Amino acid sequence: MKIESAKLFRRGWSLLTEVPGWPNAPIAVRWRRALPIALPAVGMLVLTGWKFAISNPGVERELASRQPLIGLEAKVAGLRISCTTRAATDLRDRASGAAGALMDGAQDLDGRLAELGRNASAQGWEATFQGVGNRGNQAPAATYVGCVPEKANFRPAAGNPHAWDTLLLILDRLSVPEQPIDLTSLTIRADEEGHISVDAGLRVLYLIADEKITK
Amino acid sequence: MIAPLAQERPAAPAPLPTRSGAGNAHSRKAALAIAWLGQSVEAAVFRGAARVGGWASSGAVATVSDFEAVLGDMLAALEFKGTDTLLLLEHEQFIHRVESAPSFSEAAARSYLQARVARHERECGEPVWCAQRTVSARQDASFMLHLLPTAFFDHLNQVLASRGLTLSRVYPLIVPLQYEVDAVAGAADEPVLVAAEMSGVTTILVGRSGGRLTFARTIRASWADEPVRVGVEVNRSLLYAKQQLGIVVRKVRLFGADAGVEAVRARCSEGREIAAADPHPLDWLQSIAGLAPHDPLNLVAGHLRRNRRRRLLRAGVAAALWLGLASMAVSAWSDGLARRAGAQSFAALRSREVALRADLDRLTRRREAMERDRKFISEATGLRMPPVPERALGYLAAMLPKSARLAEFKVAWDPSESRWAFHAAGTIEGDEDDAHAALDQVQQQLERSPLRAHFNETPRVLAALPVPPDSPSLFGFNMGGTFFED
Repeated sequence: MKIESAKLFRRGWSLLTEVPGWPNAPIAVRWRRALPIALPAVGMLVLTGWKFAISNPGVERELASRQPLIGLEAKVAGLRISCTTRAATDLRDRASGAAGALMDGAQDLDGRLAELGRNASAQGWEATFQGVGNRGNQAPAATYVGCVPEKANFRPAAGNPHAWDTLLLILDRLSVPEQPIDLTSLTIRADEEGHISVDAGLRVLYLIADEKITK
Repeated sequence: MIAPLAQERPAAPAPLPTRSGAGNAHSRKAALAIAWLGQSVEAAVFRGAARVGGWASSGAVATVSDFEAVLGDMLAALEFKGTDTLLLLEHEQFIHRVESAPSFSEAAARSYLQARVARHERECGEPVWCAQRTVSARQDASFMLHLLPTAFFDHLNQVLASRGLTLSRVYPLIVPLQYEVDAVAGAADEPVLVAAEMSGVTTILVGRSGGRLTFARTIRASWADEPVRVGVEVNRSLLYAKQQLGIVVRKVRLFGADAGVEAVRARCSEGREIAAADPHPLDWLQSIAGLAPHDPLNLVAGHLRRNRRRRLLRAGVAAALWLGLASMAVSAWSDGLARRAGAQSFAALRSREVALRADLDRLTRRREAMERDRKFISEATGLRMPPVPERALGYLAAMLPKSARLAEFKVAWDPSESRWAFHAAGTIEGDEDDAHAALDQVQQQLERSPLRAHFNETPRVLAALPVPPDSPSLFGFNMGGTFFED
């Protein structure tokens, strides 16, 4: 192996420095002969060494020192793209619309139920409501929205000839998206004499007080 | 020092056709042709096939140093300004050896010869060599190896190179003598023996026309001083050709002193045609001047090929390295430019740092508000329940036939199962088949409705109820299931 390497080196040296027609040329002439190859090779070596030993580490240091500010610019650019004024306005409008459909707080429940009772009365029905549990101690359903369960009983007023039809009207008006009331159960019973009794489970949604979610 | 050879010698023969046929490449170039045969040197300049002048050394030239000493005079006399030089060489260091190689393939013969040369190299040093196939009646693969020590060649080449001359061709004396064979044999395919003496060295060859060499040998014998020995050696060569190779030579051509010629005539003239002449190296030079450098009998053809390959390799490597260096330099320069541009752009960025931080605060607040709004909208809409009970009541009321009457209807959200359960009970008038058909229809319609009702596996109860006489039959039903089950 060593002999092969030495032979290879000798052949390379010969190829590099051989002067045609002058096998015993002095070393200075041989070196001059090698210059066209040795010079660029040395130049490449120097450039490579400079690049990896000096230039690249310097560039990396510079980039590392600039990284916080470059990162800040990239972050701002990303936010500008993802949080445009228009998108923020649209979301705000939708949030206001959604908040408008909710009660301002649990304290408004009586008012809402009274309104519901008046509406039923106008349709020839008598409505009575009964709270489930302690109204003032309801755990919020989520971060911004709470709900209060309520039971309602509807009975047709005496002399209401269109009890079925008006019941459907009451229920339809109850379920519109603008009302903060959801129907969780509905039980209708009718005896042989035609007496109808309607029991409904209600869930009334309200907005948990938060100054950042405004109507 | 210029010898009036052109007047004393017979006119040069018309140039013979080259065996390679590639001599035209040099036809317009002037070439210095040197015949170093034994201890005498003669030279001439050829411009194509035309000999321009001639020169002969006055003293003995035995070594390269002697050759170097006379080279200046030669060049001055010939006023040669070119570089291309050919050498016709017969020297004691120039060895010619017959080798019998395996005849079954060219590759085997080549390998054998290379092995012989390698052995010679181990014993005597590296040679410059070429091989010439010989022909004989036995048709075996025999070759004439011409071996010249590389050290001798390099020294000679160096001497010539120092004068600006490029030694492109070296031929052994056998090559022009083969042309003499052609001249003697003419169109007839007869074997011819040619013997020539130059400065005490005699070359004897037997061949046929067309450059077909049978054998050749070189002996040290002066025709003037040892004519008897010359006669014996020529006769021995004739006998060798006859006995060993089965060739009967009837034509003999001699180039040497009269004493030697007479000795040969005395021994070998029976049944043979013997012609004699003075040696004329310049004519021999003329016969080989048109041979191309890549002629297989050019001793240095391989050497020159190898040198050319090395030159090309060197040029290629140098070009690649310079290109690589240039590209690296350009890359480094462009990197520097990019770095400067990056620094400028970073300086501009730094000047906007305060504004950027303010923007970041503003946009972060906006993003938080948006996240809050998004979450609120998700909660406010996600917590709403679909209007299933009222819709289910409406559907069922519309689907039930007029003969049916609902006694109980119940729909409730089951939070533990996360599903809507329903139950309906009532009565239906008519015969049993009509009641079944009506309930089947209601079931199918509810299953296909947007509520996608799924009925319990328990079969709906359909039982006849007691009714007064003469009243239509009355059946009670009871059905239940879930909505949005799938």
